[in-house]
Amino acid sequence: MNVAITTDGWTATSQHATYIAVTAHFITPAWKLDSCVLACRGHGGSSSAEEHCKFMNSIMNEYGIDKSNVSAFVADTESSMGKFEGIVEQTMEVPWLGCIDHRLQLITKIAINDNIDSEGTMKACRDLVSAIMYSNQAVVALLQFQKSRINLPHRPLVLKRRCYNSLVVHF
Amino acid sequence: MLKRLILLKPFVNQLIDTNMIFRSYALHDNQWSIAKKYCTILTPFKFFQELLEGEYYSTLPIVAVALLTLRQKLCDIIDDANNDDDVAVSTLVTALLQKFDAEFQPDASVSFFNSYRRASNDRNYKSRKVGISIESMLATALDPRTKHLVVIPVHDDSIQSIWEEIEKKCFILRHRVRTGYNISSKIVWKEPTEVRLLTDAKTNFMSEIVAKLKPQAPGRMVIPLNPDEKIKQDIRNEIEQYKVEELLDLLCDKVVEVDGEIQLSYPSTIPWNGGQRMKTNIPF
Repeated sequence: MNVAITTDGWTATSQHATYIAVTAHFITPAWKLDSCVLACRGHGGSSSAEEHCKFMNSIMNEYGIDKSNVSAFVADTESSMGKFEGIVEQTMEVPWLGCIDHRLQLITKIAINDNIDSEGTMKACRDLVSAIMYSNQAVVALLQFQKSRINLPHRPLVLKRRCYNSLVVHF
Repeated sequence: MLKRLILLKPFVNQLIDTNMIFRSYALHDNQWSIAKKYCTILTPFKFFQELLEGEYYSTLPIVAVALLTLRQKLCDIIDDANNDDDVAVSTLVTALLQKFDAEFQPDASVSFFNSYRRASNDRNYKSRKVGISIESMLATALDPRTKHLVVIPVHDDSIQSIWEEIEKKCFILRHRVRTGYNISSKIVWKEPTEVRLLTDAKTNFMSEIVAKLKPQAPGRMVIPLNPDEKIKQDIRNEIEQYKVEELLDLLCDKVVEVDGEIQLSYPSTIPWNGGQRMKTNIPF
C-alpha cells in the first residue's frame, strides 16, 4: 500500500520545546480515504531541516514504511521546510508538494493588509469587530437587536473562524 | 469576518448609534462599500481554500482547477474594473495578481503546467517550486470530476507530457502487480530491457489504457470554465459511464481477485466530499 505523508513542526515558546507531527494518508483496499497519525512527539533537538529529516526517517523505520511506498510528502512552505524539501527529493527521490492552502494564504494576506487606496478599511473593520467582541454587553446588545427583527437569523460577529497561524479565512 | 460584518451592518450601526463607546470605531460609507467589494473579490479564494482543506475527499485534483480559476477571476475583475474606474478594487486585484504570479508563475515564458524550481535568489521564495506539479496534473487528468475542467492552451505541449507520464505510471504499476518488484520511475527509462518492455507494452497495452482514461471527445481538456448546458450534460453522462472497474481489470490483469480482499466498489458518480464536512458543490 502506498501512503502520502504530511508533516509539520511546532515550537511551544512557553515550554521551549519543539513538536513534530507525522501523518500518513492512504486509500484502503475498500477504496476509502483514510489517514492516521504516526507520531506527534516532543523533539529535543532544533527544528532545522536536517533534524526534521532525521526524525522523519526514524518514524518511517519504526513503522516499516519504505521510501518506495511513499507517494508524496506534503508540508507547508516556510523556509526550513523548503530546505527539508530539497533534502527529501535528493535523498529519497520522493516528490514533495507544498501545501497549496498555505500558498494561497500568502496571496490573500495582501488583502488583509490595507493598500494605499483602501482607506484603511480592513483595519477599521478589524478594530470595530474586536471592539464589539471584547465587550460582552455589546455582543448581547447586538444579538438583542437581531432578535427584534423577524425572519433574520441570529448570528454573532466573528473575528476569525479558526487559526492555524494563518489569515486564511479572516475576511 | 467581513462577510458577517456586512450581513450584520444594520445592527452594528444600531449598536454604534446607541452606544457612545463604539462611535469612534464607526465605518464611513466609503469604507462599507470597499469592504463589500473586497468581500466579493475574496469569496472565490475562500471557496477554494475551504475546498482544498477538506479531509474526507481527495484534494490534489482540485489544485489545478483552483489556481486556473482564481487567476482567471482576477483577470476578469481587472478587465471590468477598468470600465468602472474603481481605484480601491483595481489596486487590490492588481496586487493580488502580481503576488499570484510571483508565487506560481514568475517567468511568463515558462508554462504554468511545468513545475520547476525557482532560480531566483529572492529570500521570500527561496527554493520554492512554482507552476503546477506533475502530480497535481496527473490527478486532475485522471479524476472524472476534474478531467474536463482544466483549461490548458491546446498548443501547450504539457497535455502530451501529462499523458506520457500517465502511461509511464500505468506501466510501473502493472509491472509491480505482475512481478512483485518495485521499479523506480527513473530506472524505467534507463534500462534497455525496461525500455523494450515499455515499447512492447505501449503497442499492445498502453494505447488501450490511455484511450480509456482520456476524455472521450477530443479537446475536452480545453473546455471553457463556464460551459453551456449541453457541454455540462455531456460531462455528466461521461462521468456516469466512467467504468473504473473495467479499467482496473485491464490494468492489473484481474490480479485484484487473487488477493481476495480488494473490492472494486467505486461509485459511478463521485461526490466532492464524504458528506461530512463540506456541503458546497463546485459551482461550474
